[in-house]
Amino acid sequence: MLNKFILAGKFKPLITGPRDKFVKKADQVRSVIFNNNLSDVKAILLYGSDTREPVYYAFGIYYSLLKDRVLDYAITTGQHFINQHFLTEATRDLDLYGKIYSSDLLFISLSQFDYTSDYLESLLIDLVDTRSTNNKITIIHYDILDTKNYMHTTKKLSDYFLSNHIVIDLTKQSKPSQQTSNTKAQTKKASERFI
Amino acid sequence: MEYTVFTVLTSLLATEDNKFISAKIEELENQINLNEVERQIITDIKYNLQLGQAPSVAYIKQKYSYADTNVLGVVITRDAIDSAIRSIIISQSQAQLKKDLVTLGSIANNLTPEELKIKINSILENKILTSHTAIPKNNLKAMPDPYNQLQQRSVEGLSIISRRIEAHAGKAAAGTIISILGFAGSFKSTFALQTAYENAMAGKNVLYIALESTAEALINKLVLCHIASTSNNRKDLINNSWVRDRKLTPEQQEFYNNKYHELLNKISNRLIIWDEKDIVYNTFLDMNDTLKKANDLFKETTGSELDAIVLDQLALLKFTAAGGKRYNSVTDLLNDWVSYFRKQSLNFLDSGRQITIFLVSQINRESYLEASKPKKKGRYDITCASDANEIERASETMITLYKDLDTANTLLINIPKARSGDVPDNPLQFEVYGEYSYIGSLNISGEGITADDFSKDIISLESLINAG
Repeated sequence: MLNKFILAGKFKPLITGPRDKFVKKADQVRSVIFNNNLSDVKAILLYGSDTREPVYYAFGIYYSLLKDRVLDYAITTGQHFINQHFLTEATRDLDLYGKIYSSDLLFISLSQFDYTSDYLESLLIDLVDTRSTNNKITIIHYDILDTKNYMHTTKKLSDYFLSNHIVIDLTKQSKPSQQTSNTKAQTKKASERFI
Repeated sequence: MEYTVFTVLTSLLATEDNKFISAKIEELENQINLNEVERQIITDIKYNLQLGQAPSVAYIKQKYSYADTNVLGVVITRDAIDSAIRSIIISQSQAQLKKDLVTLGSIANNLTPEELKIKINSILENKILTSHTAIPKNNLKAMPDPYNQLQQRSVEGLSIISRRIEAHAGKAAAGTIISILGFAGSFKSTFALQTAYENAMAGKNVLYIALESTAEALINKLVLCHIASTSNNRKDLINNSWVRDRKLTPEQQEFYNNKYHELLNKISNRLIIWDEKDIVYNTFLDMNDTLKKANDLFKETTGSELDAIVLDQLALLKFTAAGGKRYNSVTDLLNDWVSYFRKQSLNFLDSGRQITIFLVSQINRESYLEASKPKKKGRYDITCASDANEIERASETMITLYKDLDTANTLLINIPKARSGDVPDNPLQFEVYGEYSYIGSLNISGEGITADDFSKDIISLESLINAG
């Protein structure tokens, strides 16, 4: 059991924008989490077109409660990560770089603008692999800007997640009220890795 | 018969066993005060041994004839050589003791009581006074129910605040040292005091030696801890700073007093808190006296003897004379104190009874910096103690405390050493409320949340967002 004030305080910095909108969006993600069995999942690729903070908030709360531990988290962008990767130890943000590899939960924001090199995808896959081996959870949020080509743009990454982890397209999820009657999904088969 | 080193040496050579001669010569060098001639003979023998053959008895007798007092030509048999060495040690210790006592007698008038204690302490280190001649019993003996006897010992152990800690470390058994380690501001005293509180409440007699704080301050913390552990309404909790700033309302003052009396009633004399002004602890003899007084007080007030000592904290013994030896460093001195407390845990005041010692100590700066890195957060290792390396060896269990600076009210507790248990994969996460002098979850309804509450929407996300 966790203390709700400590838990809420930990993820409070993620609360942004109008409170009611934030609550609504976070609740929608909460429903997605509970309508699908994500308890054994160590990495998720999310596609979304809305603000990402409520998504991170809901996942942070969920995984903390699941592990009965207020989890440490770090947030970065794909672009920042690749920039840091090519810096030397003297110029690198060692605190953030350390957290990228060692925090219990890592949220990475991606958008089409980050796709300046294929190397980023390889780097992200390597990072997710390393973290999964160390039992750490990684959530990549791809911000959809071009509604037509996003799956194609991220093919390498989504293929990797489809074979090893899970992919959730938040733009294709029903509203929370329509999902309440859904039963919880059982352990995913390979074909069910796309939600 | 009184043997001499010369007789022992010639008897050794008579055995003509080079290996045996080497081993016993080393023993003589380590355990006996040798004079110049004896050292020279040994050097001679060692030199010859290096060449492959020990010198003959005749050669040594001829070369060192002036030192040969063995006019009767006594030869000690191989089997009796150990006894002969022992007899020389005893004889030398007796002579030294006589000399020390005469010296002390001659200068006693000029010494202060403190200096006298140090001298006496030093005399007590004489081998003749410390050696135990009785043959100890073999502990591996027939027992009707050995398993249950073992279990009884663990059941009788003392609590270490939480079952989550005990799940890894086990209970604090009698005859052991449990070290509580942390960097400055890591709630070491809060942990130690709560350990004392919970065990006293469970009927164990605990002596809390507060060298870092005053008894008055600790008693206030104890009352706040009692309030926090018994209240189920947040409004009842009393913040340490309100007491400090005299901000308690008349109702709160009355509540505080009631809780104080309730605490006293429940603990019923099972916790003694003494600070540095109450006790004398400059030497081991002083500490023995203090412990004896505590034990007598427990016997008088509770009818049973002392079960545990909490020493808060070890580093503050650095200005003492400890065993009265000449210490090369503070670390040596503190190591000696750790050994002292280890002996007390195994054989309390030479009574043959075992007790538990909780030793509060500091963590070194390097370990703190290492444990502050994201990768190792709160994960101290066994070498983290700054005061004395003897802690690593003597402790049955080492508990480290790390204040999580990224999460409010969170303490990371690691157990880098657990002789009777296992080391957790990750530091254990505990709630900590410094303002209430309390470690652990408060018993306040509606403040706890589980994964089940969240999945069933018993606690909505909205309420959580608003709680932050």
